[in-house]
Amino acid sequence: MVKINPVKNNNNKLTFRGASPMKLGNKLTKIFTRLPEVISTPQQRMLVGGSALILHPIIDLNNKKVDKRTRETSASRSMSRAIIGTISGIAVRSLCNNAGDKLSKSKNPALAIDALKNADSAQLKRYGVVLGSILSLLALSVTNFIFDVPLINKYQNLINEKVFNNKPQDKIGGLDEK
Amino acid sequence: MKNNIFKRTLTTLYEKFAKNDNTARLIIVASTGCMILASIANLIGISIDRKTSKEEKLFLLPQEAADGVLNIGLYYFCSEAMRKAAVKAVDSGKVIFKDVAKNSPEFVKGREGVALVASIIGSIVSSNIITPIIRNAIGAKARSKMLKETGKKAPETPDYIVRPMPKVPNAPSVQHLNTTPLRIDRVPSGLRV
Repeated sequence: MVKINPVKNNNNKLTFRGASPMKLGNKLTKIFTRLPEVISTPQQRMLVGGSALILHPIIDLNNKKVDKRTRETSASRSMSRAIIGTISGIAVRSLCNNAGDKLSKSKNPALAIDALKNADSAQLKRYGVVLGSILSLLALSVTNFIFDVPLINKYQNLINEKVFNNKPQDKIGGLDEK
Repeated sequence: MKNNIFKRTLTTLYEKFAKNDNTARLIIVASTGCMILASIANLIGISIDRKTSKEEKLFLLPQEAADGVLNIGLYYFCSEAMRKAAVKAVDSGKVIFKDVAKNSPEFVKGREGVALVASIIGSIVSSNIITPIIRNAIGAKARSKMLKETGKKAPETPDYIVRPMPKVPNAPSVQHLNTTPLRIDRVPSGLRV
């Protein structure tokens, strides 16, 4: 009978702790160190919204738990929401971030906090993004109602009609279609 | 007094997000706030839309409500978890930048960059893959429950449309068609006859 002796001091374990570190090259290091300056809220919205436009309709159209018409209505809404929400989201965030940047540089006594006295240019820039984010929250609470909601509904019906050929007055399976 | 509270809030926000490079965390918190607002507006939008039928609203409203709660919760959880994991990976030396000393300003920027990418991946996976799958399942269940309560049957959607036949008077070649009251149009996927 063959006897198998355990190997002493064996470190070949498939654990995260034992994994070798990921070494990033010069190019990747440069990219990662530049990213916080390049990516802000509008860019993040663009990335998430762009992928939503592709992924949401695919998932909705493959939802076999509901009928075909509802699947298509759901996909139309997802597409419409991704398009309108992304466009308005990017526009509002960009405008508000610009306004926040200007506000952080202005010597407005209402916004001048004590902590800013010793702030360097990078900290001041980031404070501008913070102000921009507050402004975009306020702006979005208005634009969501006056811009997003009516346009999402309008384009949902348009997509439902043009892409899936579902007219709102259609009675599918019935006789009262003209 | 009001001015004091406003300035104190600004100081807190500055300390949390602007004093040190904390872009990834700022984006997560700001996006969560925006998503809450967008979700409320979306629900109101569906309920006031006249062109969407009641049956469709019965599906869309619970679906969108589930989407909102799930989307916001999962977005925050996944993005924050990914961000924290990325920061931990860089701090513990699992991710190493070439020619960058640990805790140098370049290292801090690089760590924030990795955290940013990780949080964006987390937000895409949570908002665009996990949430729609779960919300569709919840929406379908809620819809069938609501339809049961209201005593209605779920509309079946066949892949054909039944239409009345066009009447062609005194046309001998198609005369026999007039004896058939209905015709059935097969609808290929994506097309309408």
